[in-house]
This record gives sequence, structure tokens and C-alpha cells, in this order.
Amino acid sequence: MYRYISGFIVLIALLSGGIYWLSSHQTANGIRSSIAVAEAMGNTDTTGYDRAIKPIEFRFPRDHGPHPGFKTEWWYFTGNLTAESGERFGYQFTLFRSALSPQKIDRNSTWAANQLYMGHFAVSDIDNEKFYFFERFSRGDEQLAGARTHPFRVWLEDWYCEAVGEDSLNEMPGFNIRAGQDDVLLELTMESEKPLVLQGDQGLSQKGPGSGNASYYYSLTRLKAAGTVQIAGKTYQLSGNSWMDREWSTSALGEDQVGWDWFSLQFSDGQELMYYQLRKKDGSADKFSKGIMVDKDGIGKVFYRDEMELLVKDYWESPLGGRYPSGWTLNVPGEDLSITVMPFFKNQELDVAVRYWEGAVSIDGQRNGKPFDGRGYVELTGYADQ
Amino acid sequence: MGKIVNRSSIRYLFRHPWQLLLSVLGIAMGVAVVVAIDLANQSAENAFELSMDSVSGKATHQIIGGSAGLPDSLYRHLRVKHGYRETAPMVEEYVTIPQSPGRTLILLGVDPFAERPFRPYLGNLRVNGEGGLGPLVSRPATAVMGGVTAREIGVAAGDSLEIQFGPVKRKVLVIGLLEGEDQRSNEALSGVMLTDIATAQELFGMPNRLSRIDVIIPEGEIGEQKLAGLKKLLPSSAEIISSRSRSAMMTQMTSAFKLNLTALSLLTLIVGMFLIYNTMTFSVVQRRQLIGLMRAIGVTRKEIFRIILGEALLMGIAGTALGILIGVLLGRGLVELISRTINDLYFVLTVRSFSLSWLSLLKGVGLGIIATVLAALKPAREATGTTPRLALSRSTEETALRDKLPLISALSILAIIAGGALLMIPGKNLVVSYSGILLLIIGFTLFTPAVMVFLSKLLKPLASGMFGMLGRMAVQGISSQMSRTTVAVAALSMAVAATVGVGTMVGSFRTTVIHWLEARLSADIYISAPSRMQRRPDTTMDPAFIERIGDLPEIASVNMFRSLLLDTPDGAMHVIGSQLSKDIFGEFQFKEGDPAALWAPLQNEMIVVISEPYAYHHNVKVGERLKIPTDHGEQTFQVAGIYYDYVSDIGTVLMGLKNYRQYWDDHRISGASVMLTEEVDASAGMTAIRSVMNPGEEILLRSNKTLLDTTVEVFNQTFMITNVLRLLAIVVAFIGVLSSLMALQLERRREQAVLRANGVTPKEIRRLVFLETGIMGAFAGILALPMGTMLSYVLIYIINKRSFGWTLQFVFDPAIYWQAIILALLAALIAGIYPAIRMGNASPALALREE
Repeated sequence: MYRYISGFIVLIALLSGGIYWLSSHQTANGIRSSIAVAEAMGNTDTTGYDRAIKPIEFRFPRDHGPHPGFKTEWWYFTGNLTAESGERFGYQFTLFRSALSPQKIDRNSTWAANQLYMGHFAVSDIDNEKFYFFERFSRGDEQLAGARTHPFRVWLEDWYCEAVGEDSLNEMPGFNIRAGQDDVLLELTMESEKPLVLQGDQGLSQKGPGSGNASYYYSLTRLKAAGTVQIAGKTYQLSGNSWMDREWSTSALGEDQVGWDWFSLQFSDGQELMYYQLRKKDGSADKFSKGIMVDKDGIGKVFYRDEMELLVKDYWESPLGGRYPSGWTLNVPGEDLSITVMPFFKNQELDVAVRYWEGAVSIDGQRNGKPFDGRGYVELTGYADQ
Repeated sequence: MGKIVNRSSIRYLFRHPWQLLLSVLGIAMGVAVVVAIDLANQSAENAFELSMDSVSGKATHQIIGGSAGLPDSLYRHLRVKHGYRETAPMVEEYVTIPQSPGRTLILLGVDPFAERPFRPYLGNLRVNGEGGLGPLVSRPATAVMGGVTAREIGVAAGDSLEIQFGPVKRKVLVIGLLEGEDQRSNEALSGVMLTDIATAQELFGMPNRLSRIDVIIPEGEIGEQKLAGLKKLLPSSAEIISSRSRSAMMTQMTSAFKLNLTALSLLTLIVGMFLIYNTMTFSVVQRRQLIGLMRAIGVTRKEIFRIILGEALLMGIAGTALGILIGVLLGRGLVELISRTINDLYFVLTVRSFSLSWLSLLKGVGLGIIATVLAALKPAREATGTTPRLALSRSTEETALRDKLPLISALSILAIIAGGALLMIPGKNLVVSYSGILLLIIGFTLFTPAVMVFLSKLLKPLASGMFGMLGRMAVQGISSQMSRTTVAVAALSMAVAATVGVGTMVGSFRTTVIHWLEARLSADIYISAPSRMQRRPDTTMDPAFIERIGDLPEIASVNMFRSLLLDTPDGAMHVIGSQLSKDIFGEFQFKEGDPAALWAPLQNEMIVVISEPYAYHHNVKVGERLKIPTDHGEQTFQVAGIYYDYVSDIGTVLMGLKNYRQYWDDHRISGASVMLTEEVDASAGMTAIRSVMNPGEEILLRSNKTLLDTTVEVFNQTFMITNVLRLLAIVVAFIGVLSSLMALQLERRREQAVLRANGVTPKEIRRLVFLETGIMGAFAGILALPMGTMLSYVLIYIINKRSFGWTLQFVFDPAIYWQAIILALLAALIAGIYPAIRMGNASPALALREE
């Protein structure tokens, strides 16, 4: 009798187990999905967009403003600042514009937009080795986000960059920037100490093989900046230098390019150096890598990869995966220049939609045997595990 | 020894396979109905949660506006100026797919860039780059929908699809399909269509408006500060409510409905318990000799007890296992009925999901096995309670029952009084009410033996007069075997009473609603936009269209109303702004207040009239003040009357349309009705109305006759599930009667053999069997009538009132009573067929050999 009963119990247990197994599969937490988009709807097509094919004549204030005919554009600020009380800070503030279609369609809704804006904002608290970063997106509906030339202003919700005054919007402009989220807020006013320099070939910066795989690119290599940063309720009065890059393009990177190492270095002797090294899949430097040396008077001199040497001194393993170079020696034999570039601290990685490293660095160098130092910014992309 | 005892038990069970099978089936049906209802309820709940999951996502709060939603500038203001970044704008609307009738989707117009914290399933909605959804934002009239649904209606990515909302049809281009990673996700996504917020605003013609703003407020003190800060920033037309309370409010709407279903399903299980009790009693009675023998050779009471309980457990387990299987299958069908009712009455369920809830199955297992063991306790105790010598005697049981008759009858009266007292407790607690009903049923059931003794005495002369000796023998047979017959009669009468009670309740409901509708529907033609809900229009029409109708020469007068469902801290409030002629308003049946006197002030003064369910649920009386959130802040209205209304069990608050339009910035119309001029007939009137429709729109025109018919049809649909449950209870009772009557007759083989041996013919034996079962059926029918009447009174005046707040007229329908008696007789007679054939054909010698 009991054998039969226990048999039944085992049967029931098996049945119940089966049902539980079936039902537990259905109660996974949250709704998870992927999306399959109709092929014709892909967003990679570049037809209909403007291309950077030949050098153009830059005109200001026009070219400080947006170029919606190009697919991608950015206003890119980095800088190193020191508080009155001695603490050192670095910051990055970038507003990206990205076109979703070449032309804007006239529509009824005020939300209608064909532009997407992305903002990145990071503060490096160097003395405490703390890194704060934020990312946000919005449609360019002219209300939540947008860019305009008169008066000059680029904004993403309450983050913005605007001209100090309409008159300043020439080749030596002044800007106010403001970005904040959670308990970090940065407000700076900056004024250019040097006229802007055109990168590459009169501002046409070839990034890959083929006509049009280039961007229009200019830089303000030394902006005098002053303002405040608030971190967790504490306010610091800051002063220091900033750097601004402006670039717009429709397609830039070639197929076998995986990322870049980009340096913006401000030396204590009044000169600046920009260098970007495009990295190929095999790890080697692409021939389209290049840089510019800007002297005290703001005169730039372009140089190419074979005119310089970049050696990695150290590496950093990201806790999120991926190994980044973290410390370099940079030699420009023709200038008798040799510098060491070291991050102020290792972890200045932005864990955003596309993860990358962008951080404040310190510089020790020698030119013609004379030592100098400086601070700068380095950006490393394509190292994070996908 | 134990082994032999066990073996004898198994042998016994298998030597009576019919009895075993029917008992197992009885338990199985009881368990199946409980499991099925629970699964269907859980599935509907799960479907609701899934749709909430896909629609509300992780939003802790929602900012909602009045009739026309919110201005979208509010969102930008909160987000940009005040840094409330955990916010997401939403334009939502239910849409139907004309090429797939009956399917409703919720179209969510979202800002994909604000979605990540809210609906993570949209968070990976990459807009830029390869495979990105840029066109969703940059191209007008583009949409994304659930892949499963798309395939069901034959739509591929890249296809154009027509959608409809209210009267309006629009085409969208489906540019992508959302594929869930698991079944649950796919179910949730099956009810969703997604567009950019700009597209949704354009489709629904609501530029600059949002349906709501989703908000995430963290828990704790910081969250409370944020919430308080946010509240200060809202205009008076907007308010912030927590998602949890909103979904609780929705669940609340259906809870009474679900509880009633559960109670009905438990009734079936109780009938099933009777069956087990009956079977176990028989198995003990039939083995009296064997048990006596066992006891005589030294088997202990404990062992006997264990054997009987073991048998019950075995049957319980087998019945439960079978019941769960049947319940799962049955549940699949019932969830469709329940979803439909919820859809008709309460809110739109876009997700149809059947989920196997582990808890429901566990409940079924527990109930099945516990019910079996409980039902078997008494027979098991009886088997062990007797001394070895007494157990061998057959008349012990009967004598005991007769002796206990006064006690049982006293208990019965006690139970009825206790049940009545429970039902008298004021308040709205349905569990208490149903406990009262249970006690009443138990009370009535305990009365069965006494009534049977009484009826037998009454019937004996009659029966002997009509059928001679056989008639007298049949009646005598029933009353002398009371211990066995009572339970069968009680189970049958209970099931039949349930059908009488539920049938009368549904019938009364229907008659009340029809009377009410006939009085109310006095206009010639009714005009509405297609709505997904049957009981409450949730779509609107262009007011200009109604104006044009008013200008038609064929039309004598136009009445119109706007219906709006508001979320208030007190729960849902259904507001109606109504512009009615004095004549039509005069037809309203008022519980308190005079429609003729109220008509004029309702147009101009700050007064409202409320429906009976509203007054009941919210405890509002005439003269009290009602605070109503409007587009211009909270306004206070005085309640001037209470009217009867059977449309919505949420309850409605009715005011003049002029008042409505003063406090809500909304001129849309939910429904209208017209009176035609003398010489125009309905079809000419409809043609005239059609001539002024907006092109491409779909408007429903119905005569009062059609509208009445459709409403009654909807009503019937709504009560389909109730009728299904009623039927199932009868099936279980039928199995019960079949099993107990068969056992009873089979047990009397020897007695009948003696009759045969004494010259009674097989034909007469068959007649005897049918007479006996027929009389038992008649007893059950007679017993069921008062119990059923009592049940219908309780259902109509207590359960229905407490669940829904409606006053129903009690409508006595003789057909239901006749049907009940016929049902009981029929069940009993059918149950007699098999024993009659066997008895008639049995060889008396063989049957007597046991002697």
C-alpha cells in the first residue's frame, strides 16, 4: 500500500517539478528584447550628406555654428585647472551632433527632429583620484537640444556652450560653458589666447583612404579659463587652460581602423602639441596619423607619423575589461623634442554607450636640452572589450 | 500482516472500478474547476502586469493631466529648467488593426532618448548607426511592433499597416520588429506598438500634448523631497500619482469580479468533497464484515484507520493529478472568457497570456488532497470506532443516524442562524459574506436527513397507491438506508440549488438591465465611435460632426455626452458631462432626487448626480460635497441625486455638459443620440447622418432596438463565465449522484436477489431501482428549491450589492425552478440505468451465494 502511495507521491513530485520547470522559465525578470530593423532602413548610408572632399575657406562666426548637412559634428572642450586652494582638476565637455537624415522634413509636431545630440561631461579630481562622468542624449528639436550661430549657442538640455559676446565670435573667440549632473557642476568662462589653427591640409583632415573620408577640423589650443567646479556641495574657484576642437564630417574612419590615441598637450613654454595616431586592426599606426605643433604666436606646423615616435611606457587594465596604454614617451627628432606623458591617475575611463578613456595627463619634456613641463589631455578609443 | 491488509484494500478498490473511477473523477473535476479559475484569474492578472510592465516600465510615478493630457512644455520645463531628468514623455492610445479584427494594441509614442531608465526593453533601441532606428525619429508615420504579433497578422518589417483609433484610420510604416528574448517578453511585447513621440502626436492630432509623463522618484528622504518639489511645479490641471497605486486601482476594479469567480469555483470543490465523503462511507459500509473480521483477528484500530485514510489519500492524489491536468486545459479556455469580461467592463487588456502559476497548481494540490482526507476522516473514524462484533452488523449505521437526527437538525438550525448572522454583518467584506453562504449551505444540507424522513412518511401512502408494493418498498428502501442516501441527495440538491441561485441572480440581473435600458433608450438613433470597451466609451468624436448633425433637417434634437475616466486618490472616477433634453433626462430612474427638478440646475449650478454604485462604493449621500480634479484644479460639486445605472460598477458622476466644458478644456464627444422629426424613419435618418461624417472615419449608428440587442448580447457574454461555472458544478454533482446511487444499488444486490428468489421479475426489479433513484432525485429537487431561492436572495441582495453596488429587482422565473427539478430527476434516473440493468440480469443464485 505505502509503496503505491510513495509511487504516487514520486509521480506527483515529478509532475510538479515539470510544471515548475516550465513555469519558472516564464517568469524571468523584466522584458528583454532585441530589434530587427527592415534592411532598407539602415542608418549607415551616406547618400545625401555633404562630404569633406577639398579644403574650404573657413568663415567665422559661421563655422562655429552647426553644419547639419554633415552627418557628425562636435564641440570638444578639455582642460586642466587649478583651484585657488591648490587642488588640481581636469575636465572634458563635449557636445556631439549626429544627423539621422540628410534633410529635415516639415512636420506638425514640435518634437520632430532629424538631429541627435549627445553630451559627455567628465571631471577628474586629480588629488583625490576621483573621476566623474556623465552622458546624455536628446533629439535636436531646438528645445531640448540644438545648435545655432546667432547668437552662438550649442545646448543639450541644461548643458551648454555659448559665445561670451557676439563680438567675440571670430578667430579668437570666448565661450561660456556650463555642465552639471547629480552633485557635480562645472561653470567656466574662457577666452582664446591664440588664434585658431586649421588642422591637416588647411583644415581638411584626411582620416582614411578615399575622397571624402575626411573631416573639417580646427582647434583653439590655448583658451584661458576661469570659473568654478562644485563637487558634492563643495565649490572650488578655478583657473587654468582649456583646449577646444571643432570637427565635422560625414565619414572619417576607414574599414580597418579600430580606434585612435589622441593627445592635446599644453607646455609650460607656451607651445602646444596635438597628435592623433589612428590604430589599425593589427595594432600598427595608420599612415593618416598626424599632428600639429603650435608655437607661442599661434603658428601651426603639421607633422606626420614618420616624423615622430610614440612609445608606450605602461598599461592599465580596465576593471570593465580591456587594456589601455597608460604612459608614453613622445619624440620629435626634427624638433629635438622629447616628452614623457603620464596620466594623473589611471582610471579616467568613461563607461558610456561606447566605452573609452579620456583623462588629464602631466607632461615632462626637454626641447633642445631645456626642460619644461605641462598638462594636457589624452583620449584612447577602441581598447574596451566589445 | 500489514502487507496482507494493504493488499486487501487494493483488491477492494480494484474490484469496484466504476466506483473508484467516479470518485477519482469527482475529485478531479472539483480540483480542475478550482485550478482552472485560479489559473485564469492569475493569467488575467499576469497579462495585466505584463502590459503594465511594457507600458509603465520602471516608472514609480506618473504625471497625468485632465481630459486632454498635459502640455508638452511641462515636460521640457521639468527636465531642462528643474533638472528632473528621470522623466519620460508619453503619448499613448489604444489602436485596433482593421486587417486583424478583435486585436487591440497600445500605441506608445515615446522619446527613445529618454527611455533608457524606464523601459529597458526600449533602452537598446539604438537610434544611430548600423541597424539603428534613426528613421523612427526622423521619418513621419513610422512604427515598431512586437514580432510575434506582426507575424500573426502577416506584417513584415518594411510593410505598411493600417491602424484605427476611434473613428479615425491611419497608415504607418512598420520599420522594425521587437523580438523578446523569452516567452514572457514576447507576450508583453505582443500588445505594443511603438512610435516616436512626434509621430504619435501627429497620428492622434494632439500636437504639443502628452498623455502623461513617467517619473522615477528614488525611495527614501531624497525621493520625498524630490516628489514634494515636483508637486509644486505642476499646474493645477496636472497631478502626480504613484504607478503602484494606479495599478492597484486597476486591480481593485476587478477584484470583486475575481473573488466571485473563486467563490463559485470553491462551490464545485465542496460538491466534490461530498462525493469523496460518500464514496469513503460506502467503502467502509460495504467492508463492514471484512473490517470486523480484521479487527477480530487482531488488526488494530490504528491500522484500520490508516488503511481507510490511505485509500482516500490514494484517490485524492490520483484525482488531484488528473484534476490539475484538466484544470490547466480548462483554464486555457476560461482565461479567454475572463479576459473578455475584464475588457468589456473594466479596462483594455492588450496582452492575452496564459501562464501556469505555480501557486495556483499548488493550491489545487493542497485543496484536492486536504479535501479528500477531510472528507474521509469521518468514515475512517466510523470504521475504527465500532467494536469487532458490531462492525459485522449492518444496521448499526442506520440506528446511529436515526438517534442523531434531532442533534443534526439542531446543528442545521444553528448553522443557518450563524450563516444568516454573518450575512447580516454590515460592510463590504465579501469573504465574510461567502463564509455566511457556506454556513447556510451547510445548514440546509444538514437538514436533508430530517426532510427525507418527513418526505418518506408523506410519500409512502402515495407511492404504494401508485406503484403498489414496489412503490412502498422503494420509499422504505430510501429511508431505511439513510446513511447512504442522505449524502447523495444532499450533494445533488446542493448543486441544483447553486444553479437555481446563480440562474435566478443572472436572470434578475438581465431583466433589471433590460427594463432599465428600455426606459433609458428613448432616442431614435445612437451615434458613437468604435470603442474597445463595451460598457464605457473610451473613444471620442469630432464635436464639429455632432454640430453638423444638429443642423440636418431630418433631426429634431441632439443629445450628447462626454465620458472621462479620472484617476483620483480615491480610485477611478468616471465623469460624464451630459447634454440631454428634459424629456430624456426625465426618463432617468432616480433612487433619490427628482430628475425633472434637477434638469435645469444640473446645467448651470455646481451640482452633480451620481450613480448608485458610486454612492455605494464611496459612501456618498445626497447633499454631500464631492471633490473632483478638473483641468482647472480641484472643484467641489454638491451631490443632488442618486440614479440607477447598470453600465459601470465603478460608478459614474454625471454633470451638465456646460459645466464639464467649463472645467475641462475638452470639446470632444463620446457619444450622441438624436430624435428624428416626425416624418423621417430611422434608415433615412442614418443616411442623413452619414452624409455629414468626416471622410474616412468610422462611426457606429444604431437604432435603439439594435443598441438594446447589442447591450443584452454584451451582458450575456459577460455572464458566460458564470454560466460555465454553473454547468461545471452540475457536472460534478451529476458524477456524485451517479457514483453514490450506483454504489447504493450495487450494494443491495443480495436484497434484490432475495426478491428475485421470491418471484419478483427482473422487470419489476428494474422498476424498483428506477423508482428509488427517481424518488431520491425528486427529494433532491424539492430540497434544492428553498436552498436555491435562499442562495439567489443572498447573491442578489448581499453579494451583488457588496461587490458591485447595484440594486437588482428579484425576478422569479418558474422555468429555472422546473428545470432544477427536471435536472435532479434526470440525473437520478440516468444514475439508475446501469444498476437497473445489472440488477435485472443478475442471477439470484449467484448473488445469494454470499449467504
